Amino acid sequence: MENKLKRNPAVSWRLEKEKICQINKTKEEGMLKDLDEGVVFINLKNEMFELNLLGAEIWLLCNGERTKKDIIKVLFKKYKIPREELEHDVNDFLSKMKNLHLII
Amino acid sequence: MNTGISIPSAPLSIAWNFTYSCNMNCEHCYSRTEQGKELTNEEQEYVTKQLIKAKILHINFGGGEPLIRPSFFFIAQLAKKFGIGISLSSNGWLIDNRVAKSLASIKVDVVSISIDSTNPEKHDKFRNCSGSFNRAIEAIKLLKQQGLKVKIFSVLSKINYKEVKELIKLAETLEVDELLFKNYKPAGKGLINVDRYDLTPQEWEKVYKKLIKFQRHSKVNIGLGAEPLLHLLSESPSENDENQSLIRGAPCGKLSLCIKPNGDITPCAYVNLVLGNMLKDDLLYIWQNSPILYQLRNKKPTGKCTKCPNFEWCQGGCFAAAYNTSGCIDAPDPHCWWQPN
Repeated sequence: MENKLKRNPAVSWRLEKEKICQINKTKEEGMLKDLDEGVVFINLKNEMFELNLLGAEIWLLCNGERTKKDIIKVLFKKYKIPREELEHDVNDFLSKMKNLHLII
Repeated sequence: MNTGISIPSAPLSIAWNFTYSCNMNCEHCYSRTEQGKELTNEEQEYVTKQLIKAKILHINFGGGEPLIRPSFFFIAQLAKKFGIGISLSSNGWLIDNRVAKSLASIKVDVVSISIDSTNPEKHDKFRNCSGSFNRAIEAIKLLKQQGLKVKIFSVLSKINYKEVKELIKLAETLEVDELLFKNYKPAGKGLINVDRYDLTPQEWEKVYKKLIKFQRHSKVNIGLGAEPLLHLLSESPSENDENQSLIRGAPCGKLSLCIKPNGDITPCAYVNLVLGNMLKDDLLYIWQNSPILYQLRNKKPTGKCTKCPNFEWCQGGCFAAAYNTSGCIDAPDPHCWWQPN
């Protein structure tokens, strides 16, 4: 059975709600330059990491109730981008996050 | 993951100088010359609640020697209870088995112990405290026995920049999690003694080049901190940015702030530019509206920085070192070795 993914309970993290609103507004105005801005900040033993919008979305979905397959399913439904591309991006992201012990 | 340069809605971390008191009197200390009325235990609790409210992610307790104030344990525990990461910078003198156990029970994330030289006499002399080397080593062993993550802090200066190899060996022998080489700061006693202990720009270049080489081969993790001048040594200017930092230039005032023992808020521990006080002012208002922070976040190149292609990445280096030595935030970092042709 596939593992359910969860955020390492040892991390402290913060979602930048106001920044998400700003980015969404920028997107609506057709400007894409801010899409890579950090909207989640994570601290693990005084090492800081930041996630962009898509990274943040995956991060929020890693709530201990979803497997990787479930996460891909949710994102596929929302973004309608080629499944192969999405799977590659999610795999890449999750493996980095696991290596950093941010997701377990 | 990305390396954007946007400012978060609140500081990510706080360097809390918990007390002015210290049982040592180090020659490079940035805070030994400071004095004031320290926050009471109740005021410290109030400050901690403000930090919880602001959703700060990490607090590093420094000083003076933070373990001199018994309230440290209560405050650290309170912050930890609300999910804030905690680290402690100590000289190790007060860490016995009982204290090490208490730190482990609070689940302090990282403890950093200062070691200035592998030569005990040199270390003790620099700290004006006989026996301090042996106590620091003993503290490291006790902390490791408790399963804590332990770092050695070593401020690079004239007394040790030629013995970095020996410091690395010591760190490997002690099996610490990291050996962090910190940049000498011309602040407090560090400013008074700058001519005696600070390195020349060329010496900084040389020692950083050496340490970058050691980083590749050492058994211990060698850290160089968020040192903006390291951009000068990257093969591509963005290399450091992508690998180490969330932000261009120094993180002070962009990702972090400092709280002094009396509650004063400053951009970092090494500068006495007071932005407000935790007892009277709103931390988030200061973070979002301080004209000093605005200036730090929008540094203008001056002097040789106007001609330097790295300014975009290093942002002039350490503003505290620049300000303390020249009176100008925008002045080039006095440690910078880059010269226009």
